[in-house]
Amino acid sequence: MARLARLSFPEKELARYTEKVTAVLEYVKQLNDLDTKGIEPTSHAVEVLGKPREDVVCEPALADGIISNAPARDEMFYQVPRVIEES
Amino acid sequence: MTDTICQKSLSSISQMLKKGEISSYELTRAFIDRIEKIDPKINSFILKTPDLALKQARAANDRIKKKENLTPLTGIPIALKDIFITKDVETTCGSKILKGYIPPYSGTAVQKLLDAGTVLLGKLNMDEFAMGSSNEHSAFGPVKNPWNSGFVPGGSSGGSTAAVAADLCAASLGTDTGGSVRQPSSCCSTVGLKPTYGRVSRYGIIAFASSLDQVGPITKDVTDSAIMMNAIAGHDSNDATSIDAPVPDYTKSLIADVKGLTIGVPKEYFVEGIDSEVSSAVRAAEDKFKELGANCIGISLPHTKYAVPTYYIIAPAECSANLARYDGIRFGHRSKEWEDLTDLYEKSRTQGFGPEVTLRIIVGTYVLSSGYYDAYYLKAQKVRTLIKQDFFAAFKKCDAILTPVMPTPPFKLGEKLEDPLTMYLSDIFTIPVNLAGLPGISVPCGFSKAGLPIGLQLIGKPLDEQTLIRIAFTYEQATDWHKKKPPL
Repeated sequence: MARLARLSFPEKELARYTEKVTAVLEYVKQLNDLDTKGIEPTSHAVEVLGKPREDVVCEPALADGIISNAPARDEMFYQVPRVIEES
Repeated sequence: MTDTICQKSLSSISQMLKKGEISSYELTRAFIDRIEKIDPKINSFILKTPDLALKQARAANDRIKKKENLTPLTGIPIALKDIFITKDVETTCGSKILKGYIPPYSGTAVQKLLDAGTVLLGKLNMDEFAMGSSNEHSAFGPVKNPWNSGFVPGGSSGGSTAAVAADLCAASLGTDTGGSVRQPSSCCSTVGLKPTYGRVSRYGIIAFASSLDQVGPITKDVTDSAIMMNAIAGHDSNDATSIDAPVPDYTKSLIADVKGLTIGVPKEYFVEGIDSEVSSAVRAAEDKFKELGANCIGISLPHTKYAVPTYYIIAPAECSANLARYDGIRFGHRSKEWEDLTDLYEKSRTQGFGPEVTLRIIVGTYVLSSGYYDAYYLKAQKVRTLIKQDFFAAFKKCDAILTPVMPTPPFKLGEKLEDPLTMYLSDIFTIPVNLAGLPGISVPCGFSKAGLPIGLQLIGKPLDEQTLIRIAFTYEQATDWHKKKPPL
């Protein structure tokens, strides 16, 4: 699970998390006591969704502010490790 | 004089500003001085912004002098939970992973407060990414309860409630996903309102669990709560889940009269395990409501005990998805050493997130993973429907519901830190309200023998914050709990 969530721990910590995660998953199992056959799931508290807005660019001036938070950048580009091998 | 001015309610200092009895600059200075003196004892601020505050105060002074666009909030010094992104002001969400993050814009609720002329004193401490009930899960150290520094202020908006209770700002905004406005309000003796899901825009609050998160005011009394609601409520085209319904003038609901109203009291909220001082304080409030002319009836919300397990599937699931964006690429912490892209993700995230956030991401990843989705997430969504139906059935018989906010008074620092399940149970009475998307308010209703605050919760029908404000105001007018000040 840690790998799926892109997290990595040393063995000792992994054991500590495993214990806590197991306790939470055991605890939530009590929902199985309830018969939910035929019950519709609720994904959002309020069913009425707002009106969608037009898909137009409205804040074009944000780019500088956004990229300036990048941990590594090259002018207006994010810098990332190489993901494509050289042939 | 300066300390006494800080102790006044927002509505009274608003009157003083309007009449010219004090300037926003003097008022802001008084708060800055008080923060310097008091905050080291409680650690409620992550970031103080005195220069910005004094600049905004001068602008407010001009506005007041010229009587230009005056609102009840013009010149009022506030502080915000550090989950609200604020243009050009560092926003960390209580996490190491966002240290140094400077948002390029402000969210809707914040922008509305700034447009109204408020003065920003700083950003307040919180549990990392709003995950916690004690404010101990902060990368910036725990907040201490102003009523007794050995106890927790509640969470996750514990910095906000502690700062308001300690008179370090006139009011604050928090966010409430499972009780994070109401529960710390109960711990610190402040008024905390969680509006109906969608009543206040979520645009510009750092997302935790998107189907549950809601913004709410934390104030010294109910009047101030109504004033803050008038400023922040309403539809926003930047939040597709915000409700497009007219916003009433909430101050019109400040009516000291509950005659003819029916208040339901659910038996499932007074069961074994609830602290006797808490139950007697809330029962005493019930008697008070009867004395004031309300009709109090017993009701049942049969699925109450399933709310916490339902929440601890849904909230971690949504959190694991929302927090996937912290990958060390576009913003936030990036590990100094890495071997390849995956290693960079893993190291940056592991180094940046604290233990509770990490735990919830793993639980969320598990319940959403292939083969487990139906057994956990879908099951929880179905139980969520049952919990919602309980409330709708109850509201056929009553106008609002009265319950305790939490099962115990504030607990000791460190007491529940190593046992997540006991910690989770402190939100047992607030979580159902988020699952159902309803409005709820926490109002001071007493103190334990040890001198720690106790709060009552009123739960309302969707978009009926007005009835909650009316009932809470009536109670406040008939009691003195909200006037008591912590011994600082």
